[in-house]
Amino acid sequence: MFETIASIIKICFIVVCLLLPMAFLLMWAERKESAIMQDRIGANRASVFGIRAWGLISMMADAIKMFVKEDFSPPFANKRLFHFAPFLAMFAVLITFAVIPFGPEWTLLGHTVKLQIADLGVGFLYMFALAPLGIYAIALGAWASNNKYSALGGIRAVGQLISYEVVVGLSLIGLVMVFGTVQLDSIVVQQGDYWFNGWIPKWGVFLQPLGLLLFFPAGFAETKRVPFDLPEGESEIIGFNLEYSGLKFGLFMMSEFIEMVILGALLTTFFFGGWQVPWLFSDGFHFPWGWDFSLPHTAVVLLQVMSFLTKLVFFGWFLQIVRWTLPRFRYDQLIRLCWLYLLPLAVLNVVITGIVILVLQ
Amino acid sequence: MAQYVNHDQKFGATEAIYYPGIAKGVALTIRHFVVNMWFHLMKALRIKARPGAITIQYPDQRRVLPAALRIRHRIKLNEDGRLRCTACMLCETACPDNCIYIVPMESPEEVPEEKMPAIFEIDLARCCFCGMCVEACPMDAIHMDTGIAEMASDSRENLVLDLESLLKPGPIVCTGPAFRGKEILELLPHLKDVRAMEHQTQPEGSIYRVGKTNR
Repeated sequence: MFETIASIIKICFIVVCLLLPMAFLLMWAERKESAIMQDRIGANRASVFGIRAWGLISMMADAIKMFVKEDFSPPFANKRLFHFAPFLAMFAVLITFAVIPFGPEWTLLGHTVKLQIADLGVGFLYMFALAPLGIYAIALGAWASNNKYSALGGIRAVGQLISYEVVVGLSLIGLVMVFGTVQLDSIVVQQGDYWFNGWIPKWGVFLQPLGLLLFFPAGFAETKRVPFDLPEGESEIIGFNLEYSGLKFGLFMMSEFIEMVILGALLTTFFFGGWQVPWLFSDGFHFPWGWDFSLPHTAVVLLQVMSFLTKLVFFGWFLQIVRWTLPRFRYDQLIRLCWLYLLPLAVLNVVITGIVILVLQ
Repeated sequence: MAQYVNHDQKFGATEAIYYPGIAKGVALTIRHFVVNMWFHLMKALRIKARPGAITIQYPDQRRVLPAALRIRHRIKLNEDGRLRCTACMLCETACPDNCIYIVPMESPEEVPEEKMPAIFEIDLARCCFCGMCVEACPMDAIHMDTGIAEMASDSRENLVLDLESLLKPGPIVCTGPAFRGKEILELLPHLKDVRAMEHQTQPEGSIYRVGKTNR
C-alpha cells in the first residue's frame, strides 16, 4: 500500500513538478537565452496588468495560442494514426524518465523510499528499448499526414535517429563495463567512490571521457535539436510535423523539449555522478583536506536531490548554448559523422575499456 | 574586393575532429551570455550599468536620425508667413515618380509673388524619397526634414498629403492623456517614456495618439 502511494506521488512529482515545468522553462530559455547570447532582449512585450515577468507571460500567451488554434487534420490523412502519433511521441519520452534515479534512498517514518520511479534491474536496456518508440511516432505522423514533404522529413528523421541510436547505445557500453551493472541506481551509487585519497570523485566523465564525447553528440542528435535538426528544419527543409497544428504540434514540440531534459538527466546519471554531491556522504560532508560537517539524513537527501536538479538545469542551459552556436549539418555530413567517425570510435572505446579492465585485474 | 571561397580547402587536424572548433564557438557564445547576463542582473538590481543588449527598444526608445535623412516632406513659409511655393512646377517636373500634383493660381493683389499653389499634393504611396523635388525648388520651399518615419496608413487616399498637412510638419497634435495638445516635435525627446503611440489619419490631418498605457 505504502509502496503504491509512494510510486504515485513520485510519478506525479516527476511529471508535474519536474518534466513539464522544465520543458516550459526550456522553451522560455530557448527565447531568452538565445537573445542574451546574441546581445538582444528577447520576447518581453506580452504583459498581464503591466507585469512582464522577463518574458514568461509571453510563454503563457504562446501556450494559450497553442490551445485555441485550429486543430486541422489534412483531408486524406490516415486520421487514426495522425491523431495517435503525437501522443506516442509524448508517451515515449515520459516513460523513459521512470528509471532515472533523482535521489538516494530516503528513510521516512520508518519506510525506505527509493527516489526513482522504477528501480529496474535492466534499467539501461529498458531505456534504450522504450526511447526509440519516439521514432515510430515520427514515422507514423509523417506517413499518416499524406503529404510528400512530411513523408520525406519522416524518412530523414528515421534515418538519422536509427543511425544515432546505435552510437548512443554503443558509447555507453564502456560505462556499463566499468561499473559492471545496467542498473542505473547502482551506477550512480558507484560514482560516490573516490580516487587519490578522496580528491577526485569516480564520476563517469573521468572513467569514460571518450564515451562522453561520443554520447553527447549522439544524444544531441536524438533530441533533433539544431546541429542535427534535419527531421524538422522548420525554416526551409520542412519536416515530419508539417501538417500538424494546434495542440498536436504542441505535443510534438513539448516531447522534443522533454527529450532535452532526459538527455540532461542521462548525462547527469551516467557521467556526472547523478544525485551525488562531491564529498557528501550519508552522514555529512567529509572533505579530503580534513573538514567534516555532519548533517541530518533528510538534509543530505534534499541536498542530493537539489544536486540532481542543479545538474539538470545546467545541462538544459548548456544544450541551449550549443544549439544556438552551431549551424545545421548537411545530411551526408550527418550520416558520415555517425557511421564513419562516431560508430568506429564507440567500438574502439569498448575495446580500450575492455583491455584496461583486463590489465587492471 | 570580391572574396573567393576555397572549396578545395582541406580540414586541418583540429577542424577534422570537430571538438576543438565547437569548443571555441561555444566559449564565444558563453562569454557573450555571461557578460550580457551580468549587465542584465546589475540593471535588475538597480545598479547603474550599461544595457545588457545592444538593440534599441523601438517604440520606447528612438535612435537619433541623421541630419541628411530624406523623409516625410513639408512646405516652408517665408518670413512674412506666406507660402514660399510659387507653383513654378519645377518639382513636379523633376519628380521621377509623378507623385506631385500642383494646380497653380494667381496670388492676391497685395502679394509680391504672382502665383501660388491652389492644390499641392504629394502621394506618399508613389514617392521614392529621392529628394529631387528638394533639389529642384528655386524658392527653398519644399523640404524633407521632418524626421517623421511613421507614415503608414490603412488606405491609399490617406497617403496623399495635401497643402495643409504639408504646411504643418506632418502629424502634429497629440491627444493621449499624458501629452495632450503637444506637438510631435517637442515630444520626440520624451518618447522613451511613452509606451504606445497610435496613428490616426483624419480629414484635417494626421493625429498621433500618445499615452503611457501599454495598449
